[in-house]
Amino acid sequence: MSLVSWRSPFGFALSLVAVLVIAYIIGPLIVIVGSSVGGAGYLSFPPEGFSLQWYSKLIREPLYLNGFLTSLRIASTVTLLSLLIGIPAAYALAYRGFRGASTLVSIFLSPLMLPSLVLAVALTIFFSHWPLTTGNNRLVLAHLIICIPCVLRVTIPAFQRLDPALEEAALNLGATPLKAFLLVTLPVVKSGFAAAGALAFIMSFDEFDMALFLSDPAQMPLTVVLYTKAQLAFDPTLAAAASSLILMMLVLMILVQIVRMLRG
Amino acid sequence: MITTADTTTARPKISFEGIVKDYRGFRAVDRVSVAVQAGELVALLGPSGCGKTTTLRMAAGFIEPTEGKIMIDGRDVTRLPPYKRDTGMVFQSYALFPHLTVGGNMLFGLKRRGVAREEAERRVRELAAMLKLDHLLDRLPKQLSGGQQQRVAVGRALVINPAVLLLDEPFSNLDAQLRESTRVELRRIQQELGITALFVTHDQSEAMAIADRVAVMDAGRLAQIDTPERLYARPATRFVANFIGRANLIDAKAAGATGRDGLTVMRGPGELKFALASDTPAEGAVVLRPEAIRIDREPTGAEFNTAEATVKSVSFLGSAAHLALEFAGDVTITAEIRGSEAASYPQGAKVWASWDASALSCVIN
Ligand SMILES: Nc1ncnc2c1ncn2[C@@H]1O[C@H](COP(=O)(O)OP(=O)(O)OP(=O)(O)O)[C@@H](O)[C@H]1O
Ligand SMILES: [Mg+2]
Repeated sequence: MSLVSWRSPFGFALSLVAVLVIAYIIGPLIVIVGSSVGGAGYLSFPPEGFSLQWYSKLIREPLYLNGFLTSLRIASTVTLLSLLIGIPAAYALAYRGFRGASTLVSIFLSPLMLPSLVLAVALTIFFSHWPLTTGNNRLVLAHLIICIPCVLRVTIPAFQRLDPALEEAALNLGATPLKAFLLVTLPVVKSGFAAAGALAFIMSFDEFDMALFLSDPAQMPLTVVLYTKAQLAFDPTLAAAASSLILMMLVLMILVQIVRMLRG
Repeated sequence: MITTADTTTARPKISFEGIVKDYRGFRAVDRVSVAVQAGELVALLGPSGCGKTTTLRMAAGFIEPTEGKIMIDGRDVTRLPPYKRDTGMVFQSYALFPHLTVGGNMLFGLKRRGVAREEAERRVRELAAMLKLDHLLDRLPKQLSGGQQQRVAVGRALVINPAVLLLDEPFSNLDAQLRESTRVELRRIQQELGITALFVTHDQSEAMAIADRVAVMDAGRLAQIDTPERLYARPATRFVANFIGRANLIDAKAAGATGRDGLTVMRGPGELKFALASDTPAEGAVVLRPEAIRIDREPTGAEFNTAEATVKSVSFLGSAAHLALEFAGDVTITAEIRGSEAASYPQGAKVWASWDASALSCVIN
């Protein structure tokens, strides 16, 4: 039984709002996917006819493929590093607990509140003064600033839900603190890691503002490629590229859900 | 702090020596000394917040004492981390590893100790049979009932054959009926295996039923440690008298000897004159258990340990009934009689109450 029946006036209003919001979010996506499978030689919606010609064109376009591979490389690196840094941090902040931990969490999460354009500009200035690293490594560093908090936000609750006695039980049975972490804590919370990793990956993969400012012009990530293309001419290949991106994210999300459901 | 002298001279399995735990100006545990002999089960009993869990966790090594020493098997373990101590702990929440099967949970400690696979599996099977868990070894904790989870927690702690088994309110998540049968079962296994155990509870009947000795804690201090029988018959403090069973506490002053029997006389308010075994303080409170009081319609004629009273109220409890008796000097004492006799003493009835000298004890105020 749901709390509010949709047959009541209030429930009906709620349902209506929900449907409208979903339509508002999904609508643009449908337009993009729809126009990417059109048979005409130009962008149109609803599509005229059906063909996958733009997709085959997309694959044969090296700029898109390179962009995709660059983004994949960056996002994978960022995901791996965010998890490696974020998980131990979440463990220390949430499970171990110490004075001032909650203040630290707020500070660590604050980059998520900042518009990424502001971060992009700030980092551009920063790197011009202190050229720590070059090329797309700069973008990796930039993405870490937003992806680590993202990992923290997903894994901290997972660690908080964990019974503190679990690790104590492991210690009591003779496990060293490291063994207790590796054999008990980590396996128990790891279903949360898939979600955290997927989120970090998606965040990095489709991030645009910082990519525009900080990426290597010789090796542009996909979002920047799309932007450059869109400025030249808005042909259906662009819609096909965007649709592929949507599809990829969708598959990723579904995978995460499946992993979660399998874990129960 | 009152402790009974240890009758055995053997080295205790675990001992706390003047343990103190301070939390930023707040003393949670205050100079507690307890020694538990091999094969003995000692219950740490006391009201909420008196420091039982803190004491137990110091034994396991999760909390470091501010002062004092903890010895296990004659070795000073005060500064040792938990994983270097030989204790097995049963947590209130059980803390079973959710990603491991019952068998995996029980094997965990043996693996950490480097016990060979075959030997480890044999020991798990053996103990599982004893705990009636043998058909559940392949299940995950979430596929078990609360009672089964509890047994797994005990099994996991016992299979490593620890020097001391530590239990923190292990039955608090079970319903009343299961709690009683599990308690009997735990006691049987503890005695069968000769395990030394320290058992935390705030339930006095649980402590009395399971323990060889009960250590009563009051606001961080050890109030008394003794066998359940002696604790009940000879409480050392007002707090213990009130906490263990029901007690009437009547303020009284010493008034010489009876001249016979070597009993000391203590005068209470009004006409109340108690004669009790010597070594009583000059001033204190006499402890009179409700069920030690006999009720008669006629005076007994004795000089001590009897007085006239009026029945102020009667509460019928089935097998027993409680009478509130009002004595001269505005003293009210609760007496327990058989339920079937309740009708003979209606409200307002004049009665004579009496009790034996041996049923009395005295605590210092
Ligand atoms: N980490 C801590 N910081 C400050 N005070 C604490 C801490 N842990 C416990 N205390 C205090 O120490 C006292 C003893 O706590 P403890 O948990 O040992 O009580 P307990 O006897 O086990 O009670 P209960 O029956 O409720 O479990 C309590 O007053 C508690 O508030
Ligand atoms: Mg407690």
